[in-house]
Amino acid sequence: MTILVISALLFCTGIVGFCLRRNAVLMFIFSELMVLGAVVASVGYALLWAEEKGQILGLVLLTTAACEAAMALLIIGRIYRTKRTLDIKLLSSRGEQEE
Amino acid sequence: MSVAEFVALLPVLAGLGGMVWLSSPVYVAICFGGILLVIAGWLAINGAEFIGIGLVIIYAGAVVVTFLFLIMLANQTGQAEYERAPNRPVLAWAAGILLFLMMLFSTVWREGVPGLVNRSQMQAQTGIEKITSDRRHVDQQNRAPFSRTARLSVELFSRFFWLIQGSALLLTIVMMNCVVIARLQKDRRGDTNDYSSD
Repeated sequence: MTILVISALLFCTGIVGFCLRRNAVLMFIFSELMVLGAVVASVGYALLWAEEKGQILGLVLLTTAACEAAMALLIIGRIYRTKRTLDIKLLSSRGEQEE
Repeated sequence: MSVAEFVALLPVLAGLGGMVWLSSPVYVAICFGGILLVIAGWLAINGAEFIGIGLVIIYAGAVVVTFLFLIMLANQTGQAEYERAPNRPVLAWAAGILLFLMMLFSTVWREGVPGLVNRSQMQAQTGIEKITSDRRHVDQQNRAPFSRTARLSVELFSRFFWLIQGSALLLTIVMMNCVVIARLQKDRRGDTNDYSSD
């Protein structure tokens, strides 16, 4: 059960950090923390029920998270090069002005 | 929760606290890396060696290093106003705490709540027996050290072969996508230089 509590802690801290921060990179780190919580939960259930399927789901989640990280970091880097800031509020207000 | 489990939980709690309270993105990324290492060790000890090693290689070895690279590239020191000021703190904490309580209720505390299908009922309906810690200990003693990993590899390359191939295809598509986007940026910069020289 401890592993499920840890996964819940990871996911909820990810939610808190994602809502608290305004830096795009930090928001993305916290979203990765949420994915880690999901991975730990699936592996935790796999260990609890002695099933390999949960570990396979965790492996697929890891792959998806790696893909997501590659794409998101590329996009964030591109935004920084053009806008010279990572402040989400400023970026969204600039986007509204451009519209 | 045993004392050993609680002691193992402490570094995770410290890392999560550091991630929430520290303002410097570098320290936040390092805390994230530390949490990953502790979780990977925890999984490896509990019999999920493959996922534990995968976490270290994929997350700590690739994703966190890329995070740090981007943070250094963007020169994020944690001193800017938007990095220190919290965004909607009351809403964030309320959402996090409420969700945590709901998760605890649905996983740990739901035993004995009338009207909800609890774990014993689920075992009776599905016929799947929960592995107790004693039985898991006996199983681990009776088997070879990496038998669980061996069984996982058999499953991966038999029943879930196409799932793994699909994941590999997804990774390849993302890699090609990244190359295309990076080349687009390069071409546009080349165009800009040409126009400015005119």
